[in-house]
Amino acid sequence: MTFVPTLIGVTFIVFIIANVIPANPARAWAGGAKASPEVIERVIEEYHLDEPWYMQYLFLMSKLLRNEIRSPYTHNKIWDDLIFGTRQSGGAGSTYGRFFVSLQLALIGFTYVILIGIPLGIISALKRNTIIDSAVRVLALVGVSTPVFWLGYLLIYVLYVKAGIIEIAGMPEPSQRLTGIMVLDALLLGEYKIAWQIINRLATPAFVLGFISIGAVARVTRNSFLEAWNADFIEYGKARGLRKSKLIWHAFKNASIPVVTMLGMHFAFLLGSAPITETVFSIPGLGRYLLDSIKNFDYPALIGGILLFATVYMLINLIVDIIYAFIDPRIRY
Amino acid sequence: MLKTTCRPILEVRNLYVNFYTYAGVVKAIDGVSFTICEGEIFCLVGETGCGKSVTSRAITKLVPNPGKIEKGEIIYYTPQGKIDLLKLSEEELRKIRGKEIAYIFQDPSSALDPLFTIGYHVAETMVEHKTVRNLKEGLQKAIYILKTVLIPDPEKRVKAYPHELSGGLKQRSVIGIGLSNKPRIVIADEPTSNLDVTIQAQILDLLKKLREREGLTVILITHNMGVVAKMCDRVAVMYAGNIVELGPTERIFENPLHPYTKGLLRAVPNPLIKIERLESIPGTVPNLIYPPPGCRFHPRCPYTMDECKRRKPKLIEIEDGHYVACWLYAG
Amino acid sequence: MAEEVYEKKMLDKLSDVLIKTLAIFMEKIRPGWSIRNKSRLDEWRLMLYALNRSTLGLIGLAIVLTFIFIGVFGPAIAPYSYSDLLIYKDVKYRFIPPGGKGPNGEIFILGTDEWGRDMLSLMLYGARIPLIITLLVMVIGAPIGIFLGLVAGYYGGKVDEIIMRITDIFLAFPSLVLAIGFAVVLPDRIKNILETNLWLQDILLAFFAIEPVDAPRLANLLAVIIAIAVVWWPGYTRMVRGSTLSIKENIYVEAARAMGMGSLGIMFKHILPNMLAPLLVIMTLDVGSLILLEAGLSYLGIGAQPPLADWGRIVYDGSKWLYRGYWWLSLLPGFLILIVVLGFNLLGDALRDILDPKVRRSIEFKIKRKR
Repeated sequence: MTFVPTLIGVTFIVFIIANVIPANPARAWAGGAKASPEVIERVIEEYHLDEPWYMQYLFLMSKLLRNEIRSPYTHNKIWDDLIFGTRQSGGAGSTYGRFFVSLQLALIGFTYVILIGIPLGIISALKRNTIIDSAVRVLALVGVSTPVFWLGYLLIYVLYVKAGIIEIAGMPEPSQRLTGIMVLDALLLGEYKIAWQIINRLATPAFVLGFISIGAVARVTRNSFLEAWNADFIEYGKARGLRKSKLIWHAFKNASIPVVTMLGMHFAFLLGSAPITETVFSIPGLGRYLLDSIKNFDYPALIGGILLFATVYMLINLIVDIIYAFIDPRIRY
Repeated sequence: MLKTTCRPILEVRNLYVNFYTYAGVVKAIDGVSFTICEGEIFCLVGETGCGKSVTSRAITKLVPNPGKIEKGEIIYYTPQGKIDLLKLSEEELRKIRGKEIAYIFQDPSSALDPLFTIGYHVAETMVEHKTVRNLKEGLQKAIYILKTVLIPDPEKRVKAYPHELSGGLKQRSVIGIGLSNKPRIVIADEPTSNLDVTIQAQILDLLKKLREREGLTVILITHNMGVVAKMCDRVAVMYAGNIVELGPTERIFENPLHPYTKGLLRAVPNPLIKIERLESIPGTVPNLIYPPPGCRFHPRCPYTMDECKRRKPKLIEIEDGHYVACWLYAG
Repeated sequence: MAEEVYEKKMLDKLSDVLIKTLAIFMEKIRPGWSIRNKSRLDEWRLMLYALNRSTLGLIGLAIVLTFIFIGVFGPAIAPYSYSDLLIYKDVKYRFIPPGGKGPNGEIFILGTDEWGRDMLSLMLYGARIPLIITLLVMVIGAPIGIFLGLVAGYYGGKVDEIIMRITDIFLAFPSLVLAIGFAVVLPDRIKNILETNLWLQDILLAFFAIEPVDAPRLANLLAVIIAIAVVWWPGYTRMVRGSTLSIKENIYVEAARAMGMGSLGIMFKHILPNMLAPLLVIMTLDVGSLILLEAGLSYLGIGAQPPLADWGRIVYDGSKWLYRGYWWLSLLPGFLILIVVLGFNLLGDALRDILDPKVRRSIEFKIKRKR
């Protein structure tokens, strides 16, 4: 399907970015002003920095895809940093790559959105034009207008500086990677304390992430439910003598289509907002990795990070499309 | 059809329906009364907006918001006796809708839920009224029902989704759904207006055949005089929320009494009478928020008299079974 | 901050005056215009009445206008001037909380920061960059996106495929991430271009009212603008293409073609005007998102650099003091961003309502009954 050519195009964009990179970072990677000429030489050799840009790009891409390239800054292999974890036999390093941390954060945020947003939407549909309805509308508006960092700092100020309830340093993780979802793995391994710590650490940042979407999802749920409820086939259902619970089921199934689409969009958005939230709460996730690599002129890492982001983003959209085709018989390939 | 051989099955008495809109109160149905005889095809005909659809919905209290049935009685004659449908609870009405009185709507595409197969629609309706025990049985019976409405290849079609079918097939399915619980009355609201002309004829023929086979009473709503001529035993002409003329189809066509009926018949080709020229009725449908006083047709009527502007005429019988509401005939 | 409050009835009369002025103006340019467009003028007047009846919409409008006002005149009305802000003041001026008093009895409504600078002035200065960036991105990005969408939807076939493929590629990235990517790598390149084309640099410095000594910041600013614009246009392309596809099916398009109208003409005279209403709504709502994106980039340190004042950047600078309890350094600018974006969203929501003919009619009836 259209997935593959888009993927190629994505790498092309990444390539453009890579191409525009300031020239000759070798010195910085070798350690800065004090770097000895031999180290600089080695760096240039390792990263093929003396070759023309298209060769550099090909080199970078091929090495990247085979996880053979090391970040000049962390000296770990990039995919290890990002996905596989950098655990060494001594027990140091992390079991999980940055990606899974961000994933866990996004999943918890998403849970907020579903558990709060959808019921709110249904309630405001049932209680149309009442105070609850207006409140949800305002919530949606405010949610979409809130800068992520502001909300984050507000909560940090209240919950950390003043009340001291939450943690904003460190990132606990389970001892083994099983499913990739940290909380799930901890539970499966029986490491309940660790699971609780993870949830504690991520609960507030995940709420900040999710807050933006809660109102919007509630609104869409409300509107699509109302639209489905006012549809002709519901009137026809009444004319056929169907009982109310049956009619609600018909409306619900029809309403779920736009809601699922919107949920998918918002999950992708959650992931995309990661850089800011992770910075505010000092979470070692994919977003922060991106930003750190910028600070450290770590361009291979930057490229790898962007590539990963794009791939995951596309995967999510693909999954949403598939779910959509599953629910709606009018869309079948 | 003579009055003496009529066994009433449904009687609408003095029906008033208002719509409360942001622009004002629309007095949509303004005192409508008629009787429907068992086994006949009874037509409600009139221009768009005259209130025929609302009347048909009102029969089972299906009038949507912001409409409200202000007063009136809908007497339904069952073997057990007479019931006023408007006095029943929502739950009691639910049992009647789809089982004793079935509806066929104008647009089958919007009537069917796009996420469910037509077999499901049929089975669901039957399960709801306990005609079958469960969905599985319902789906099997659905195939048989689709055959009744002459849908080719019913075994395959029963698993089809609405968007996979043509307009004609969808409407047949809707008819099938309507008949699945063996109703006594079928209310068809412009069942063919959205279909091609050739399909129209097929659907109407089907309805007629089914009426004979199943012994149905059909209330047919249309704006098309041709359909009236083809299908109806008796017809009621509606204008702006009132019935202006009512009688056997042949009498209406051969001897239209009300000026509006005459205008309607002059506006379309009539195979029974030779007309020199087709004429349209001057003027437009009145605003029902501020309806004209007296007879609602008087602003457009070529025979207006003073009385027409003051009092509304009632339906009176002129010849056997043929009624008209007009001061021209009220002595 | 100056804000005027009107009575309801006066707003309607003001709307009448506005419409009349517009009509007179257009008459001068094209005689006969008012008569030709009478019903359109009536509809616009009705739209303004509808807006006047929407409290939230009016609040949104007030916020938006205030924001634009501050963006343009902020530095001029700030109690403490820009150059003052750069001087490291007396230690006693540091960290004065909002509403607190300085050593000489001055009142600082919004407090001071770690350099002793007045927060109020800082806020007034900090509106300009977001405003400029947002405007420029809209002016650059939206037309490109809309044009491509029109072309893709109208011509279809290979052209459509190519354009949509490119659009999809850009849409495959989360906006923030892609903007970060471009905003990071572009400044150096731009700096090179500017240094080799000093005439360009001079024009741009004057345009942005940046002092020549701060020239390096220019490259940064341009990079941010280009980065956000690059991320922004695909959304419009997709939306406009969808609308074009459905509008294209209308008979009047075919009629125009039959009368010999060229493709460009059809696109701009027939198709585009029919999607102007929803497009306008989306653009208004988008401004809010743009401001958030720009603030996000600044917060991450990638956007406008000091000494250019920018609310997002101020949040970043102030965030490290949050843990010492000096909350107003970072929470105040963030709150202002919230209010401004909320204003645009309220306005956009209200616009969506008044552009819906059904809503307009119901308001028309309500007004008429009062008369």
